[in-house]
Amino acid sequence: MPSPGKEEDYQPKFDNRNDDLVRMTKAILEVGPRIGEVARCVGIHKETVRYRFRKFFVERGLVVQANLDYQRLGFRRLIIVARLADAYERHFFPIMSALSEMCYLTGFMQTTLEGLYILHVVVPAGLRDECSRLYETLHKIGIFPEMQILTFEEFRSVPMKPEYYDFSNGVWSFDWRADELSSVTLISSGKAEVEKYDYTDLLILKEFDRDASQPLMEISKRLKLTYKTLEHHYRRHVLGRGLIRRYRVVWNGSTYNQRTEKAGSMRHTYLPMAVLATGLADWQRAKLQAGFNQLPFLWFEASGPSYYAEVFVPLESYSELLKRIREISARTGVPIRLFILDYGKGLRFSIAYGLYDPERRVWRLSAADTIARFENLIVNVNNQRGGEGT
Amino acid sequence: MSPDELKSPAKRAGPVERESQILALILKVGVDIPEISRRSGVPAETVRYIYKEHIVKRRMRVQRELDHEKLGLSHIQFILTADPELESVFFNGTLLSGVWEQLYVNLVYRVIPDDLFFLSHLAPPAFHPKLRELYSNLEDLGILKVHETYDCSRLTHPRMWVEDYNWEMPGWDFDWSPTSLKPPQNIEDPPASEPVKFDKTDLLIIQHLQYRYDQRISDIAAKNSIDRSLASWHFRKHVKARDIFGGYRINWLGTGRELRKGMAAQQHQSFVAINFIAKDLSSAEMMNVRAYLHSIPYLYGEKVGASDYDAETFIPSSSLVEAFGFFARILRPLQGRAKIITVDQSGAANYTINPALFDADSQRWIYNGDLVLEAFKKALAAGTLGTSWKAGREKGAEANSG
Repeated sequence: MPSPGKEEDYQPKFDNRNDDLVRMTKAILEVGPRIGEVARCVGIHKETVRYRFRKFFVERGLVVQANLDYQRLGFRRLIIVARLADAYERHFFPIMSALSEMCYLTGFMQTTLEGLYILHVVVPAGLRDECSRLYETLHKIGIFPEMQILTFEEFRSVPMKPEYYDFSNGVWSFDWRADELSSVTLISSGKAEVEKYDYTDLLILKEFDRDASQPLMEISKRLKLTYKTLEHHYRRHVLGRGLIRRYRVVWNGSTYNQRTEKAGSMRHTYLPMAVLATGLADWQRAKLQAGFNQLPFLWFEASGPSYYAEVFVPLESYSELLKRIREISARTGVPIRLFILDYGKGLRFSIAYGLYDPERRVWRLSAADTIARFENLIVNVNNQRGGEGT
Repeated sequence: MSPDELKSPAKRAGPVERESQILALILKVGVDIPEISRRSGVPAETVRYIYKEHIVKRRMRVQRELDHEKLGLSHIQFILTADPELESVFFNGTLLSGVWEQLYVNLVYRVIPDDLFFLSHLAPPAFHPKLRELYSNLEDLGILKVHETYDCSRLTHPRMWVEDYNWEMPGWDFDWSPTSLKPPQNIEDPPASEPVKFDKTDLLIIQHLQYRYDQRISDIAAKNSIDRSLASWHFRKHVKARDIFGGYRINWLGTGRELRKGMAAQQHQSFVAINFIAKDLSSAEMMNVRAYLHSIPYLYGEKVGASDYDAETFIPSSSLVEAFGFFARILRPLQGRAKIITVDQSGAANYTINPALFDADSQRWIYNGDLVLEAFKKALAAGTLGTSWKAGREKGAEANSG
């Protein structure tokens, strides 16, 4: 209860707490879920931060993951919009798994209405052209009868905008009618020099990409490394060389299955959508980027000659989002292609550490093995269909 | 619920069942309180209370299906892009929305996020080629670009799923899983009608009854400066006797027009208007598509042509994920001949039939497209196109806010 005479100073407890949570989230986005450091940043008692992290993040399924600095790791991104041939549709999962094991596929989603797949390929810069050719070969041999390969120089997971999030109720409060901001400051993804790293670093990155709140001890047990070795790699390499570039709060309800190492998603709260615009002039790309970055629901974006973004919109705001996209499109004069995504037919894989040769310290890509495996798949499917036909 | 059950006064229903029962009877006999009371066994005052509290206050409106064919009218649809400077003429509430009324437009909305407009005309079939030609001329003038034309001529509204309506929600607690959907074996369409005789007074009455069928004819007569007994005679001898209005239907969206404010309520937060539109369907495909769309309670209206089809659905925003999955299953086999479009409900406008387009002397519908085209040409030549309409829109906005 407020003391007498101090009523004008009294603020409801809830508002203060939400403000604290906003500041706490912003600190987490910078330093990760390291409770001590977050407590120092926001000036709140460590145990309070720990309690709130558990109550408002862990219990609500808001996972904190590390954003790997793919530029420093020397990676580029291809986004491929492709149709899987009808004959292979029922084998989509093994096909995508094979692509993740052999061709740097780090995620895919199916578009609900068109039945296309949007593939995210994160590939070492030196192997980008070869990888691109490999996917074109898969198109030629009929696995993907339709395919559009887009190259992106810059890409990033967009940081959560906690000021629009009501942590107590787990809902967003965004005023669509409010005037748009005249400008938005975008955090540049930077074009850092490629850093040195080794296989152990990649294993640690893979773990933090999954859940950045895991204690090092737990990770050392899982990776069967001594704590000392792990800590050395983590402090000296991963943090020291900046291989992690900030953190992301997974507010869109995606979940991660520790056993299968695959990401899933929580339906019924958000509608996942992808937007794609191609053939852009620089000013058009900048305006598109600014337009989408005003939305708290932007989850991921990539830009190059084209612009690609993923948005998770609360279901009740679907129409408002479409209206906003129309405005952005009208302002830039760019037709925007919109896809509704089906996360039931989508997975995200971790960095393709299996394709790193620890001995030679190089990334591998075996086009011949991949093609052979897929040709074998074609033969098997055809035989199966022949068998079914008879 | 069978008619026998409805007639049985002995059957006592629970509070929710009772509301559904009354709604089902309204679909049969309209808002005839004594008749509903007699058929349901619910006291008349209770029926009146339920109707007022649970139906009228929820802005559900009882309407009657207008038999357009009897008036010699059928639908044709255009999807187009407009010159950005002329967008204002596509919105309701502008002084110049009258332009479209001159062209028998009965529905205009913007498709989002594409910058497209959807215009549906309800015009005599003989004018359909003229309307196509008009759009072609407007294209030549650079005013707009037509992307697609659909011949979905007959409009019907499926019966509301009264029996499954959940009054607590309110809405339907619907299971979207493919195994739960039960597409009907066949869809019964009302039989085709032949045009009947009617006059301008009939049309004035019809126009008002299209808003709300429960209006008194004497009120309509007063609004249009028609003699009360003459209006009543036209209603009984022409409108009623010739069955120009068909069955009752319920606007379950809760967007009923507030007569005092003269505006329809917008409920765009709770329902998303998604239209399924298809072209060049075979009769088997048409049957299949319609059966699937009839397997959900959110199908609000459908326009059916020989091979073109336009279904209007209102999907609760909480069910969007499932609804897109549902639409995908219908769309994919049609390989590009069908699409779904999201309607920007904030600027959508529905028009009633326009009695001004009926010539009392010749007793025929008239075509004013040539005049509209001339007006466009003059405005272009004078360089006033765009700016004058913008001014008109501002005036319209002022008039509305006043």
